[in-house]
Amino acid sequence: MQDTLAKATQGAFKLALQMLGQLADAEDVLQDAVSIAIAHRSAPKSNSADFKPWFYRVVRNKSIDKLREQKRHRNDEFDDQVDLELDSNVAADPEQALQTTQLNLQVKSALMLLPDQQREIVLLKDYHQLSYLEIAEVLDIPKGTVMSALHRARLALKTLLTQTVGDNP
Amino acid sequence: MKNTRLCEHIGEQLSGFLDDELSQQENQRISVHLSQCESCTKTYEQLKQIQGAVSETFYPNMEQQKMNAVLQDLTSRRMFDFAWFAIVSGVLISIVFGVYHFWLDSNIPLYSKVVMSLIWGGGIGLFLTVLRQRLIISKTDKYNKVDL
Repeated sequence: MQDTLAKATQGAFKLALQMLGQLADAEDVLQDAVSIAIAHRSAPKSNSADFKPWFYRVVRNKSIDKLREQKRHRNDEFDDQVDLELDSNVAADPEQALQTTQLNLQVKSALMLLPDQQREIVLLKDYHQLSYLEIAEVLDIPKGTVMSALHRARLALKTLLTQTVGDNP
Repeated sequence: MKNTRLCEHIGEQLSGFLDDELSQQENQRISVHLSQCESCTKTYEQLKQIQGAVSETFYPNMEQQKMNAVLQDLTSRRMFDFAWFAIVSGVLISIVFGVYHFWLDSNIPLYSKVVMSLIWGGGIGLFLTVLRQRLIISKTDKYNKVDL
């Protein structure tokens, strides 16, 4: 069970990180979510296809609890740390590294400006590569509304990115 | 730029087409429309670019050491819970039996039973009060994770 759990844990950790913005908070949420996954009687088996969306849903709900509990804003520490790691990964080609970093920052900034629900749905589809059915399970919404909600979120992101590029030629 | 009434109906299905979530018939319809409509093709290409950019956004993995700790910690936590359960059960059973035999022992005078019960009852009461306060503090103290 632990191997499959470990794979789902990395993706779920990033989801928590994307929602909370703090490494330490995301780790706390993961710890709680893994405990629930082990202890919860109605949890799907970790080797079944249902496990990933179920686990992501637990992580999402725990992250929302954490946000409510703390009621604090994200700070810049997270982005600095992430971007330092990115720089070290692509430092072999400085020009490409700069472009990648700038694009990365622009996309992340635009994502942060989206309302929470829109950011979640875009990230679940385009970053975590979940199917519409899985997204519906994670967000606890009907499958039929996923496509329209996702399209609205993408158009909003497109508008934000267009503005960002326009502001920083 | 050709903009037909069909564009208004395509809307969200552009995303469905991009994600390969449409039926074969719908896919074909969108595909034919895109080959004829410059405006929708442009939107589709932009959405595709954004999708690519989001998928390549960098977020760090959880450190392997920490993840191992989280996963391994569960086994030890289960054992920890079980150990506590065993200890608390043992102590409770001992107390119940102790009190039962103490009160039924005819060799001990009644005043001694009452005094001893008051002293032990008071002691246990104080212990539970302090324990309760400590538990409340440990759950609500926002500085309890601060390393001094």
